[in-house]
Amino acid sequence: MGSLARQALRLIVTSALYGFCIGSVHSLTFALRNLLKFPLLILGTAAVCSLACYLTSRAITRALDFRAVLGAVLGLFAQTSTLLASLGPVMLFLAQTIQDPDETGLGDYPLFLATHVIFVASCGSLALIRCTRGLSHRFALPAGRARLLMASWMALCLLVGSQFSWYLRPFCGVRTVQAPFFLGAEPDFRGATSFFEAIGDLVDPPPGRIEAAR
Amino acid sequence: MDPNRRDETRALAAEREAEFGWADPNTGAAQPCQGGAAPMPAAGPPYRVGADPAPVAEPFSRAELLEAMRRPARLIDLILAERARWMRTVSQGQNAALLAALMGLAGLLFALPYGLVLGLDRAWHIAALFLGSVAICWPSLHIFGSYLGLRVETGQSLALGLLVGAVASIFSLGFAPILWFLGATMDPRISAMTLGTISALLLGVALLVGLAQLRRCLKLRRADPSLGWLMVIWQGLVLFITYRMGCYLGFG
Repeated sequence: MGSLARQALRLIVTSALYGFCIGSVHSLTFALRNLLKFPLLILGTAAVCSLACYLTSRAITRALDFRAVLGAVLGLFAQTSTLLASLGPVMLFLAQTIQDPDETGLGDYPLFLATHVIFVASCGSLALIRCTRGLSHRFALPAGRARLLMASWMALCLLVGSQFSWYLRPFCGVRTVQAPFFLGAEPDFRGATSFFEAIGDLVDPPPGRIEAAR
Repeated sequence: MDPNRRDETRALAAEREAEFGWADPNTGAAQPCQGGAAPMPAAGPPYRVGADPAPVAEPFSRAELLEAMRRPARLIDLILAERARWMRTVSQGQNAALLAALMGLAGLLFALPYGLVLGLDRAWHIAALFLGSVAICWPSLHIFGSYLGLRVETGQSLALGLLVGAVASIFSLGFAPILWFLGATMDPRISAMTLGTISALLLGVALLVGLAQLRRCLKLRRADPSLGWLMVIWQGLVLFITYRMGCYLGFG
């Protein structure tokens, strides 16, 4: 099996594992759905961004061909997923033990969500630092150039990955709310139909749209 | 040593020399600074368009340029990854006109996918945006360059100008799948403005990368002040005209 295939397989297994753990906060159904949705999110993001990542790398250095770029991007995601999978038991434990939401409030769900965000950010940052160093050593790139390369790849992946995760949502959620396999471009409670609108709504809340959504 | 491999090594050495100050002439490896000292400065007069930017880099032969015309992947490498050789070809002037034609071809060809994502009737809009803007601004580059004493032939200045459009188009090719994906996952009735904003942002990034590539090729830091100022002002003009062209074509 080639190194790319191995990395893809590792990525699928580890991301599915972590997805299962965070989905279990809602129900077994959500956990099982995440076995498919999490790998789909990461592989889909890598696939959509691969061409742009390759062209960016060619503009910065010619040390990497398309296969090397794909390997580096998949490696970054695979490392993040592996780190996250190692935290899967923690999330599973939290998912089973948090105070359930009820009519009076969300219970411990915000704590669960905050832990998830902190884990993703920490694992992503750690993998990014390691991959940047690895890229620098493996392809004899100056550190500044390797950082620039990784930063541009990260920007591209964030652009696509954030919208893809919005489209595939929900990955987890409070148990009292049911949702289909994915919500796609359905408006959220503020009326935003995409990730970018949701961010815009956070910065500048639209009162009219919230009223309409209600 | 295989002649192709040797050429590649020499080009790499030239590129590294241009980037880091000096390079091992045998291996092409960049030499580390001793004791934290600054890299050795490259000898010779300040760079001008008519001078050689990197003495070791081989210019592209006519056969190589024609080959790139048939192989898009090679064309991308030629434009993005082989700056030293690209600049040497322009400086030497022998195949500059062919290189300019190649830049124009790349600008047309690689802009198509992004245009097709926008719609069949808008397939030509990206090429018009980038190449059209550069075409409008190119006479000023050539005339002002000549006026300021830069001995630049038409083919050379055309290649320099079209490099911006070609690189921007190549990056729009990379952004085409992203725009398609975002369009497919957003509600077009509600998110049209958001998608339009993202598209404008991506095209802006593509243009800025094109301008940055020109800057890297010219090595403005080592240029004489008149060329530096001319390029800064000309790049500002390209930005402004592309913005106006974008508004005219409905990207604004």
